[in-house]
Amino acid sequence: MRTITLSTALWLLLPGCSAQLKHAQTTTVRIDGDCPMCEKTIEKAAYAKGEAEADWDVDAKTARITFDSTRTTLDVVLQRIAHAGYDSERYLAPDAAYAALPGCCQYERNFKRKPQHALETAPGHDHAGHTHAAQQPATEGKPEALAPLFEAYFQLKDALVASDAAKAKAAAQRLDAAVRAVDMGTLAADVHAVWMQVMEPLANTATAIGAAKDLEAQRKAFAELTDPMIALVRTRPGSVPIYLDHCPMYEGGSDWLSRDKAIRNPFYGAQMMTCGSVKETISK
Amino acid sequence: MLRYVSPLLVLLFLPVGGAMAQTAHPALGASRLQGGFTPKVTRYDLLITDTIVNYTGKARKAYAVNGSIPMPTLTFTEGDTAMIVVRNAMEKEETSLHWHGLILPYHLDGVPHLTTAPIKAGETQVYKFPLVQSGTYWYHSHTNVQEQNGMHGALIIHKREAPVMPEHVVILSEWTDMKPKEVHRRLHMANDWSAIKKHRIRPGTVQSYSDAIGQRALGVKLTNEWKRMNAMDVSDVYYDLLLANGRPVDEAPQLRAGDRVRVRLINGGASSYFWITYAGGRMTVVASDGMDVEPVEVDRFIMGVAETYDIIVTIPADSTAYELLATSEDRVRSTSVWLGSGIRQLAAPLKPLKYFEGMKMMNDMMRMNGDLDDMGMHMSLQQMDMNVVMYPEITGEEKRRGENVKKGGKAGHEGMDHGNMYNSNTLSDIVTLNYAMLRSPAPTALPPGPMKELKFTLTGNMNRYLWAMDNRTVSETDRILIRKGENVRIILYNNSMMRHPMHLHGHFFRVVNGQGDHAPLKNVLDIMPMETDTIEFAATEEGDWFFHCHILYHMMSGMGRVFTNPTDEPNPVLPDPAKAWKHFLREDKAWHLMAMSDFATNGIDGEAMLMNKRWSLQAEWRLGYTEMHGQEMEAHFGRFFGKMQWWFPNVGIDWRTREEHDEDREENLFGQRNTKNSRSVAHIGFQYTLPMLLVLDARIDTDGRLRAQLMRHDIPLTPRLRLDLMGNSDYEYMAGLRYVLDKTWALRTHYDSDMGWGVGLTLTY
Repeated sequence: MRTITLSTALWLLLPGCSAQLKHAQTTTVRIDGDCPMCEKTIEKAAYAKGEAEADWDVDAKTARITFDSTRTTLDVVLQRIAHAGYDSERYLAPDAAYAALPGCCQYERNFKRKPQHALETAPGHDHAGHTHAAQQPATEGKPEALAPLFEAYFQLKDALVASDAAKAKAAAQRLDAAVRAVDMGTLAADVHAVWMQVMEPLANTATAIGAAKDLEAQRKAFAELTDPMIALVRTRPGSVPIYLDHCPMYEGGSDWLSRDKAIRNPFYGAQMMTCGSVKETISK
Repeated sequence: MLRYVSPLLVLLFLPVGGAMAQTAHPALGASRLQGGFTPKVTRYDLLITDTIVNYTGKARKAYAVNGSIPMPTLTFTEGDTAMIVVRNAMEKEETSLHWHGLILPYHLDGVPHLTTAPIKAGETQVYKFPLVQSGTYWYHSHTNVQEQNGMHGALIIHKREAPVMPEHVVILSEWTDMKPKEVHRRLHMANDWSAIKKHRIRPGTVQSYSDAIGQRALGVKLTNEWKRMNAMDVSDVYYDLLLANGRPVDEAPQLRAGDRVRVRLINGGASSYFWITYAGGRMTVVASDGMDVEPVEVDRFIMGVAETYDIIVTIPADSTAYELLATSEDRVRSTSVWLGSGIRQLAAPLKPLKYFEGMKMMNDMMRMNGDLDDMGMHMSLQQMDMNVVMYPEITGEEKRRGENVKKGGKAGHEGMDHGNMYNSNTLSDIVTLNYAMLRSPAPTALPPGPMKELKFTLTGNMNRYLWAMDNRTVSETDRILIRKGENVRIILYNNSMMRHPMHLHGHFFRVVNGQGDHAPLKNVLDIMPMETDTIEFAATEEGDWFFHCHILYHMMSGMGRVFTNPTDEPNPVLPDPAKAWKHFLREDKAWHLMAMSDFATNGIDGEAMLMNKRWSLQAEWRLGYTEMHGQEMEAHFGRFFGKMQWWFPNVGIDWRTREEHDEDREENLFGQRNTKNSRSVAHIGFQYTLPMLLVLDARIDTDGRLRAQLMRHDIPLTPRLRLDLMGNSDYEYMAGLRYVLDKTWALRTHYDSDMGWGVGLTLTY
């Protein structure tokens, strides 16, 4: 605590500090953060010459913000802090700004509310909007038993689009686990019938991708997932469209499934990102 | 008098309006109404006044309707009849209202003097028409630059049967403290005060030599000037504020977690494109320019001037407001709409543009003759956006010396075919909407009929702010005849350096985008530099229809055409069509005055120009305080040629008197007697803009003497420090340094071979 007081005192002696702010107004605001590095970033973000400055306390997780009320507002200062990656009681940082913070600064986001339909939010997925939940009407009922499986498939597809073998491996393992975790008892009769057909090829292929040692092998196995996945997708409730895409080049023509209309080719990645076309839009 | 005028106009409008009720666009067939409801008349009364507003701490004149800026949102239901009573309560000014995107009888379209009588001061007009469509539209003044100062508003037509869903209407606009007429005049001066203002917010905008050196891109800057390009403008005008529903920040606190909200977005700006991003996840685009499209999920999209988009977004969590962020294309300013209430979840701001990357790209694309070269990429439909080279989120952060491209986008270009270099959807994870992704849910194929094909090249130059089609403005061309039963196909190629939102009045056109019979319907098409786009429509509507660039200042400069579909009856509201047409054409014939004069210790020197799009009358003066310094005056009048307007042949007069100096040379460079100290002649010659933006001025006078001069003004050494250079074959030369203080004043020091050193103040008008 002593060191903090000392550094604060020193900091106050620097030029451009509160003493020089006219019409100064001071407020204390709760701002999340973890470490002395956060303190630096927060105070730098808050500072504007002749307008505003902040003194953030790592223990109390509060900042004393001093600003010239004729030149700026508290909201403007807090927005700057949020844009630097830090949540306060008024503003939440953009997800990208938070994600860009160094590891030691990735504080727990206590201010952020849980999405109402968080069922499919993938860990580490920084676009909240990429989740399936965002587009499903609130009224569409309980999560389907196969949701985690679909989610894992699309993560696998995204990893292949990104040509990221490690992520693809992880996603394939999740898919494998999701296939094994499906409780057949909860499936409706027609879904159950389809499930019995596809369960084995799905599990085997997922295992194969998880064990594959390079992208090439992963992609080859991934193509084999498409047929069983189509069968499952067709049993799905809800009206959110899933796109069946076709790449004419890979292995003499291969298909994959996507939630996005835009073509993003998992067989070639950046090499031929937009190669392919939508073959069918599957929705009810 | 007023009482007398109003009923007369009502009479004129009503019967014809009623008779046109059958008018329906064939493409609207799907939404054509069945029986089972009683149509009603929805009436709005609009009172137009001028008013004083204060957005920035400065009182400024603006226009308000029913006391509101923007104008009130007019809401209707499809199948009903709109009755809008418009009263112009201003003292002197005339005005007009155009119903943007609506299918209606041409004489109600609201283009003053072209289709509709202007609404004179004190006058009332009644607009009554059946609503044969649904969707998000808007209305705005089509008179002069009134649209910029408040005369824009939303016009929503609901479907008769549509699922109930929370809605929020957002009309985006800009505010400038400068008078719009002044904005327009200054654009024709190629004055970069706007860039200096932007530079204070986004350093680098001026693209001066010092900025170039700082970015280690001096070579890029020099190549740029070699190709006769001034600093690149991503948008021309500096705005003090961007507004959503007339406010810097708009709110919709009534929305709750889990709500799916239809946001009806309208770009009511005069010249700004807006990027739309959302903090609560992806957005589902469901309509464009009022017409439904098959839902498509995106991370962001750009709205051209006058475009409308309907999106569906979700409010993910409770007690949280999510930012819907609209950022101007130049990324200088933004405006926010908060959806929901509670703690505010910010969207990621768009990072500053990498201007020098953009300049580098332009250098590759620009031929020496000012034509653009797409290097065989066949660009169309916003799919390949050359500007991605400037977007840090797509192509990575600005490079610093000795550092590889930082992560931010996937910068690995290896193995990618050439075209994909500019496709933002392949370069990054961010899904950006483009026109190829729009698909109409209903077939939009045209009815059978002969096809009339028209090709236009969009042309223009920034230096003189001339914008045209095939290098011809509205007033330099005839109306284009189209006939009922005919289909019209327009192939547009943009050979100018700016994007243009082309708007067709009174029709929807199909954007031929590879979706076959399901090509989307729009009434505004954004076309980027080097793109070729094809649009088609059936000539179903009789009357005159304006087709023009919706950037207000481009339209005012003459970028457009008029289509005429012969009518059976004469226009009921424009009794003298020839006179009205002449009046309509006045817009792009306007003359602009500009002047600059330096008041210095060694004399007063300056120039004034009165010019329109092709002609210019210029005067120059150098007035010393003593006979030793002497006096000079010259004037010339000439015409600019070519689409880049580099050629300026002219005739003029030149008068001067000055005491001889000892060191004066007796002969000029051509071996003729040097008359630089005593001259009273007429001359004929030309100016030509050379690479590096050097202006060569060559002339022969009535005494048979030749003079050649090279000059360049306003060389941007730093954002505010400018160098002027001049030298000629009479051994006269001048060098000056100017420091720009504000839009009017600059500090200047210069050395002139005749007048010596001077220090003073420069006034710019």
